[in-house]
This record gives sequence, C-alpha cells and structure tokens, in this order.
Amino acid sequence: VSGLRRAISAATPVVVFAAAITAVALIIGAAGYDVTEAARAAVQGSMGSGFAILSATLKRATPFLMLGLAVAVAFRAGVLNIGAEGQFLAGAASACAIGLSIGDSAGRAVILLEITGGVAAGACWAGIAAWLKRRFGVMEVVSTLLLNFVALNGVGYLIRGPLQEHTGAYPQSEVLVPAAHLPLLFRGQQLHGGFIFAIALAIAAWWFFRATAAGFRLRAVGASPDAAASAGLVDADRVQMSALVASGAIAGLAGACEVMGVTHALYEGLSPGYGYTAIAVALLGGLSPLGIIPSAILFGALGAGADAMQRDAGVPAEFAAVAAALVVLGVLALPGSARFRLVLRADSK
Amino acid sequence: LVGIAGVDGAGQRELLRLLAGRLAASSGTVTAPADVGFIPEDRLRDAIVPGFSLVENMALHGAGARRGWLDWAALGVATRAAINEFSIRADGAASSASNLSGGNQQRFVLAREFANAPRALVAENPTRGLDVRASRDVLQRLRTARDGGAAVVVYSSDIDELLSISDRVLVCYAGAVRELPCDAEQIGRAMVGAS
Repeated sequence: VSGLRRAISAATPVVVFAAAITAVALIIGAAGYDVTEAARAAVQGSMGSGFAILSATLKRATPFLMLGLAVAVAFRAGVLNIGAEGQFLAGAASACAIGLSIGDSAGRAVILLEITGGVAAGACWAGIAAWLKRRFGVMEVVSTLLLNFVALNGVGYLIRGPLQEHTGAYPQSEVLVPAAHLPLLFRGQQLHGGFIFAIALAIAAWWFFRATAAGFRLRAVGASPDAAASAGLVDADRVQMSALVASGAIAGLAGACEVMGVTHALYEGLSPGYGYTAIAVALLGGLSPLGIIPSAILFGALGAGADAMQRDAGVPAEFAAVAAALVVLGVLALPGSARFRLVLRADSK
Repeated sequence: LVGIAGVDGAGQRELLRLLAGRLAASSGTVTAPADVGFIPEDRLRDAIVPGFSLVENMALHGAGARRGWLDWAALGVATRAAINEFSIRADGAASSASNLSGGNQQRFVLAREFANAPRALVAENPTRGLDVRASRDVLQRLRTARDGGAAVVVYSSDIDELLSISDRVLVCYAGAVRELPCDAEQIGRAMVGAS
C-alpha cells in the first residue's frame, strides 16, 4: 500500500503539470491560434536540439532551481517567503556592483566576491522581513511581498543613477568584464556554471534536511512549531527567522548567477517574475530539494517553449504564466498540500 | 508522586511548564533537573508531529540541543525498543504517528520521555481521551517511573484519578499552591477557594 501511495505521490506532479499544459492548449485554441503549430514550436524550442536543451531549457531552469530551493527552505520551516523576487534582484544588483567596481583587477577571484556579495545581499533583504517579524510581528507574507517592489524600484534607481552605463542613454549598467562572468559549461552554448551550483545546492539541501540536526529542526518547526518547541525545546521563532535569511541568501545567489552567467549587466527586466514562478516550481517539486530539480527543468522547458511559440507561431508567451498559475492552483488543491493551506490560514489569523 | 489539582485558569498549566522547563519564570527561580520528561495535555499539538514517522518523532526529543548529524540508525534502535517495551501497536519505526490510535500515541510519548531515564517527569492530564485500558496502562507507567526513583508530577482534571495515583496532592488556586491531605472533599473545596 505504501509503495502504491509513493507511486501516486510521484506521479501527481506530472499529472498536474500535464493538466495545466492541456488547459493552456485549450485556451490557446479557443483564442484562435493554431495549437498544433504552437505545440510544435514549443517542443522544438525547448528540447528539439542540443542548443534548445542547453542554451534555452537548462539555462532558464537554473534560476528556477535556485529560487525553488530558496522558497522550499522557507516553506519547509513554515515561513511564507513570497519575496524571492526581491531577494533575487538584491543579489543581482550587489553582484553587478561588485563586478563593475572590481573589474578585472582581481582576476577570476572577482567571481567569488560577486557570489559572496549576492548571497549577502539576498540574506540581508530577507533579514529585513525577519527583523520586522521578530521586532514588530509583521507577517512575513506581507513584508516579503512588499519588499519585492522596493527591490524592483531600487534596481530602477541604480540603473538610472550610480550604476548607469557611461553614456547615460540606457537604463542599464555597464556590461561586466569577461573575468567577472561565470564560465560557460559547453563551447558554443549559453549554459553557465550556475547550473552546476544549482544542482550541487539541491543535493546539499537534500542532505541538510535528511542528515543534519539543524535540517531536522527546520522540518520539525515547519510541521508543528508547538510540538518542536514543547517536545524538542526548539526555539521555533529563531529557526524560522534563520530559514528566512537562508532562503534569501539562496535567492541572492540566484540573482548573482543570473547577472554573472546570462545578462552580464543589470537592467530593469532582469527577472520576468522568476521569484513568483519559483513558488510553483517549489510546490510542484513537493518542496523536496531533489524533486525541485525536475520541476525546475520542466518550468525551464515551459519558458523556452513559450519563447519559441511566440517567435515561431505568433502565440503570446504570457500563456506560459497562465500554465504556471494553473500548476500552483492544481498543487494547492491536492490532499498532500493541506499543510501549506494550514500555514496560510494560520498566517492570516 | 505529586498530584496537582486545580480548576482551569488557576495556574497549574504554568506551574507544570515551569517545572518542565517549557516556560521561563518571569521572576524568581526554578530548581529542577536538566532533563525533565514532559507529557503535555494535547499530544497532537505539543508532543508529536502526526505527519512524521515514529523514528522522526523520537528524534524530536532533545532536537533543540542536538548538533551535527543525526544518527538515524541509533534513533531507529531506540524507537523499536520503545515500541517493544511499551507494547505500542505500530507497523514499525517508519510508520507514521498519525496511523496510531490515541492510546498508542500516548504510550509512544511516554516511551520517548522515559527513554533517557529522566530524574523528573511532568504529566498534564496524561489519560485525556484514552479508553479505560490505555488509561490504566499510562498510570501504571507513571507509578513505575516513581518506583524507579524519578520525581513525578501529575496534573489531572479527574480528582478520583489524581487521588488514586498521588502520594501527595498540591492544590492550585489563584496562582498559589498549597498542600492538602489526600481527601477529595477538602481538595474540591480548596480548588474553588472555599476553604
């Protein structure tokens, strides 16, 4: 019986994803587009060639994987961090500022400094919400969400002010020198070293939850803060705040990797809502670090396919966002998600 | 074995948590052993995580102080020993706590809190929601702990049960505690401030 339950549990995310894609296909058809042509373009653009897989799907999956892990670390501790988007932007801005100010004067060591800066900025951005909760009891679901807009406008200020490119004509930063770029994994492809970081991070997070006392405390607090405090003498507030800061640090790393590996410059549209999509990625992966790997790749393929659909079949890429939203609704409707609904209810009290 | 009597709101809940180290004193000092076993009234909220396996619930004990790696093999051995020693009806250490009956969940909580032979044990309405047989078993386990040398403090809202198990009885009223003879009538009056 437990084997059957595990099989159903493993198949459920795939069914939810397939149902969301089917629903979007029906909507695309109802909107008057050629569904067959759109599907062909999407499949070709996401997995039709080595370039599509490495330079489109896996490249896009990298921020989803890191941000999905960031969301999962917080959610597993019972903390609703909706601010991965803002923490991602804080990490990206910090890494870019460091990369631009150091340039190639430190050789490849600049990469380490950029990553450190990105991680620290993401942690600090989440730390604001943690402090607000600890000091004033501000619900993190509200503060992290609102801090996203502060971060977005902060980036807008930086690229029109201190970090703007030297001509002052464009709202973006200078381009990072090649020494400050993450190395590419394959010649002629766009997949960068951040993908390896992301996979290593997923494995490390899995091991952390499974094997360490701190990971167990985090899971216990997320599952039942009262039982963790009473039976385990765990400081549940402290664990939750630490999880929020760690979540921000991972999101900051994702932002740093995006700037260093993909855009090589800071600009306003750096994240097309990666931090929000990451919630769907994390939930579809069952908040399991290893489950988030295929989930992120699926969402990477969805994004890559949506771009190809727009380019080759004239179907707006926004339909991919509809699919992501349907995945969230589908996952939340599942019996196994009762815990998250309870967290949401408890948080809204 | 010290019984605590009191009506809801009289302060016994805070007293038990102070003794068990689950509540910090706002003033004064509490002198108690470092490791006090605690059996709270609401086991599903305060004692176990229903969605966790039994071995994970065993790991919950002392989770706040544990550092480094978890020794799942040792925890599995301890869980299986608890299942055998306390006659818990479970499919094994990996079975979910939510699959156990209320009586077996309470036996598991007792087994876990007894596992490290604590010098003191605090129990709050330990038979709440249990059938007669399970209640008898739980009370017997508390007596066994006492006989083994542990200090046992029990609160029960059932006065007859409290008197049947206690060597001494303290009554909480309006935040103050006083000792009375084991007499149901006197205790009943003291609980409502009538004596």
